[in-house]
Amino acid sequence: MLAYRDGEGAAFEALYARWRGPLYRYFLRQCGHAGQADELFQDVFMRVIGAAANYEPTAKFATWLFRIAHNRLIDHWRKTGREPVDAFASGEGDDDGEFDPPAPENAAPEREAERRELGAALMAALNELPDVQREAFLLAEEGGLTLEEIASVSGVGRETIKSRLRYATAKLRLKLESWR
Amino acid sequence: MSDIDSKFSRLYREASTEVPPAAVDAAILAAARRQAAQPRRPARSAWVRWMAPASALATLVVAVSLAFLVEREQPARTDDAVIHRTRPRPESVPAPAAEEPSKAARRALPGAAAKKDAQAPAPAAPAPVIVAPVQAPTPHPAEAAPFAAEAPFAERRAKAVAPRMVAPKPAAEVNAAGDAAAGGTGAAAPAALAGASKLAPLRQQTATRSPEAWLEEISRLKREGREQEAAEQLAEFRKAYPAYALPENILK
Repeated sequence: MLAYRDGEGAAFEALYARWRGPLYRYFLRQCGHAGQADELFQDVFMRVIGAAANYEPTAKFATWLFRIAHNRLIDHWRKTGREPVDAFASGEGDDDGEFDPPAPENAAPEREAERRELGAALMAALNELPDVQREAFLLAEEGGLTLEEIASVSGVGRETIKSRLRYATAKLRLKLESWR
Repeated sequence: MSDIDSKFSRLYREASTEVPPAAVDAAILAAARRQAAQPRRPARSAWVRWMAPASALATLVVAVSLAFLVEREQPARTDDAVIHRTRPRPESVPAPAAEEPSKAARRALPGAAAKKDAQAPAPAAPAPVIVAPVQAPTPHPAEAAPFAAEAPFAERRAKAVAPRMVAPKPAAEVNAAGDAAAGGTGAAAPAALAGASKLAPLRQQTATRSPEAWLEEISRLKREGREQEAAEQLAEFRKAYPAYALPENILK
């Protein structure tokens, strides 16, 4: 980003190639609508380009990028009248049962098909998570952010994020129980 | 991410492969290239960054300079007051027997040198000297108005050079000076201005007189019809104060 700020156009292309998928999927999972995800994704990268001239590395680039994305998503939700849901279903938090999907290395054709179906089920289960839990999951998976970084992006404490992730994992495990 | 089950994580990455449409990619990359092609202005940003501290520093320097000037000015006024208080009374005051040339030169400077001499105790002198106080005639209000701004300066200057009047003189001359002082400048002037050779004492007077007093003297000579002397005085005045704006009654 510093190289791009200093006028090196190729640096942005490398940056974009690295982050285009994760950021796009973050919006796609959070909106559930490809058109809105396209618009939000493009808007965030336009902001990144606009802010490049005054960019100072105060945090990891991913943290900075996903903070812009988080703020843009909150704006979008406000405009559309949607409030982020932070629901905690009772009795689901302490489920530590092992989830054991079929391993990809045993890639027999029938196992391959099974994994694809399992992946689709995971996406469906992820879509049913409360917004804040899904966001914590996506920031961890797509952004590769630590608990502290997710907390910084979301504007909440580290323990809150840890709790959200634990609940998210527990709910996903419950939804995929039938695949054990 | 240690807080997410690694198996979930692996499964999610396998299933999550969506990417933005090519049109969006193209639009973003084109915007990025346009931005990169724009000329940078690092010099301006550096100036903007330093403008506020530089302004603050300049203000501070000006403020400190003014404070020093004011502080330097104030003791001078105080010392003038000290000179007034410590000025010897007309009766009998011990005067320095002889002045060293350097000391005399210092005394010629108004302000600091005069302060030193005023504060230092006067050395004992063999003969008492009567000090003739310099009396500047009060100018007419109409005449004084144009020079109102210069009046304090002239007053200070007159005070600063006042110690010169304490220079040792022969007793007869001292008495004559005393008489002249007692009678005022107007009484002593006719005798002093009798001829061209008598211009020397006048020149000495120019050093002690304020410009206003001098102009008043010239005006008086004109009123008395002594045009020649008035013209000589005016010429002397112009030499001494070339930048001084002369009042109309003098120029007539």
